[in-house]
Amino acid sequence: MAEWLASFVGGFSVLIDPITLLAALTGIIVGVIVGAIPGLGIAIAIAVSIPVTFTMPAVPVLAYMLGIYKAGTYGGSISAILMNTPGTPAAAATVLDGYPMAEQGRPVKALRIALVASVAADLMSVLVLILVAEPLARIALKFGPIEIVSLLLFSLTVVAAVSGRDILKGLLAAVFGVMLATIGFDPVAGVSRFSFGIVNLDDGISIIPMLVGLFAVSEVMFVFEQGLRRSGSGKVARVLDPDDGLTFAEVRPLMPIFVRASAIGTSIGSLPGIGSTVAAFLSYADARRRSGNPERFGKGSPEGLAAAEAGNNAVIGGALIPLLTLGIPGDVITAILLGVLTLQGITVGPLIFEEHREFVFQIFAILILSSVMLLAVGYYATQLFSRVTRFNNAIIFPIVFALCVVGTFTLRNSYFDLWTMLVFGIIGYLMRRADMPLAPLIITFVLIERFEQALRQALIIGRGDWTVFLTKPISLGFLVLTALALVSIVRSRRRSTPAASQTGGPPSSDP
Amino acid sequence: MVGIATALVAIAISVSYLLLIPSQVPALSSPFGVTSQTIPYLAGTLGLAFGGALLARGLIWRNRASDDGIPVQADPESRAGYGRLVLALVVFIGYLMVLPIAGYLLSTAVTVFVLMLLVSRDRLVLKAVLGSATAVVLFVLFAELLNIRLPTPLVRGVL
Repeated sequence: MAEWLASFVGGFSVLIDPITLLAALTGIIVGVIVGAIPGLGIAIAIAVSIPVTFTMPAVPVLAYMLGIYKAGTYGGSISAILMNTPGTPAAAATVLDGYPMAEQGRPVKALRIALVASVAADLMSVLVLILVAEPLARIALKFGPIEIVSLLLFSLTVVAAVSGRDILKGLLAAVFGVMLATIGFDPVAGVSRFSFGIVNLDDGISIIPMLVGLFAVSEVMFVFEQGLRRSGSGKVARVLDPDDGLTFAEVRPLMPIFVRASAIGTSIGSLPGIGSTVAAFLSYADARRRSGNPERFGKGSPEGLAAAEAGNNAVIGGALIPLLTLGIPGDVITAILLGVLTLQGITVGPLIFEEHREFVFQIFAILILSSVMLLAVGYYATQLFSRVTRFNNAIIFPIVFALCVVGTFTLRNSYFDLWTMLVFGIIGYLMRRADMPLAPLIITFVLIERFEQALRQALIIGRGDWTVFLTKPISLGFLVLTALALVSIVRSRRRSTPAASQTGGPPSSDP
Repeated sequence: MVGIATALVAIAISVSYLLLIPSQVPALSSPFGVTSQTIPYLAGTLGLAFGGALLARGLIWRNRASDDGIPVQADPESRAGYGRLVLALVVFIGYLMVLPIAGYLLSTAVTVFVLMLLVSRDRLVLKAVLGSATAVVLFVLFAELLNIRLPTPLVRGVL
């Protein structure tokens, strides 16, 4: 108990560390801005920031990145409300009632409902994370290689099958992730694979140039292809009136919605691959079903707006549950965070609660701190942030490209990394053009080494007998879950129109 | 058509990957069946299977679409967009090639300016200033404040 208390005090002492506070504040500001600008996204901002933060200690880096993650998710609502254009895919449901509210002359009220809903849901999901993470990690500590293989197989299959609109393309993206991960030294035998005699490939593909290319460079390429067509699809709502505020009496009836949407968002977030967009729409549908005024939904209902924003922000705490307890990222952002923590020399998974308990408490403290900061920054800087929606893509994206180049070069002063970044930019562009999700590629890329190691260890334990995975109850359970998940996903997709997966809307990056 | 093209590319990648395994992955024996080649063979085979399924589905849908008389329309706006994209790619490649020769400041300022022009050709002076300012700010941030060595011109004294 004394040890636990010492870790708790040590962890929460980051709240008085000025560097961590500054890093979190910077992350919040950067996050709101990138979230508010359609086209820029959380993944781009984090990927471009990795090289800059490479030499910094882990805690401020995490404070900065979690700040971007939270504030970026909220920031998407700003352009959704003011421009009828979601800043991030997660804010697609926010448009339904947010923009009508702005059109009716209540843009500040809409922005503040979105902010309060985001922060309330986020805090509730963090509370769930704090309560369930350690008990789950204790269970996960009992997992051996056999259980890990089945668990990873379940996670990878679900991520591949539910990411994007097409199961086959999601599965292909996952396979491409495996192919890319096999470049470099084999983790068990130590032999070089697919390096073609190129020394730079012996250590495998460096994840940072890959992430910067897939997310940031591919987005820059989209902007060049589409010119200015993607920005300004809606009119920016009228000049914001500071008197159009939000009172506690208006927030009180929304509280049950915050709680239900948080429960939905946290549950969805803790499952691999589903993501915040689905959570927002499910929360929105739930709020409409329970509402006394369902006819007002879609016409500027504060309940609809609160449900959508609470649902998408609650995903954050949920997504961190499998990451911290099992070392499994459920979406692109947590996959990038896993890469960042690995670069910092920290291995996430059940052992983190034994070996780095204080660090876990630091993460919890940062999560709470950044929510409070987001509330303050969002509340007082609404007027300022609303202006970023008017930024010109012609100016922003060339600068983003320059940032990608300098950031990637900074890592190892390597021109090879720059070419890797560009190649992955082209790959990312082509994949998104083909409506192929990026999340399965990234997640399999970061997990496959662990999968391969566990598979080999499991088969050594089973003396080469593949039925060994059916002999352990937990392993068998995950295999059954994998099969059930695949069957239910295929059946639910068949019910939708087949052409929907071939045409559909404009291609977008996952986060 | 995009689905069929994606399937063909996926099949081509998977076949190439499978063909490369014997020459690129040493075949060390293992008493329990899993070698350095196991995961690559598994990935290549799955890629081939999923690509084949995507191709079959794409062909079936194309036949249904042609039975329904759905016309394939070309978008003239997207042709201009692809032209701009190709130009941007040429600029990206040129930048990475020139960077070690011309150094960071000059090549970045010119590249950012040219890229801004590719999207729209108005406000030339503003864009030139922004291009130069971007290069200088990033140079100061990385080279001066973070002490990171950025590419310098091969001919010293150019900048």
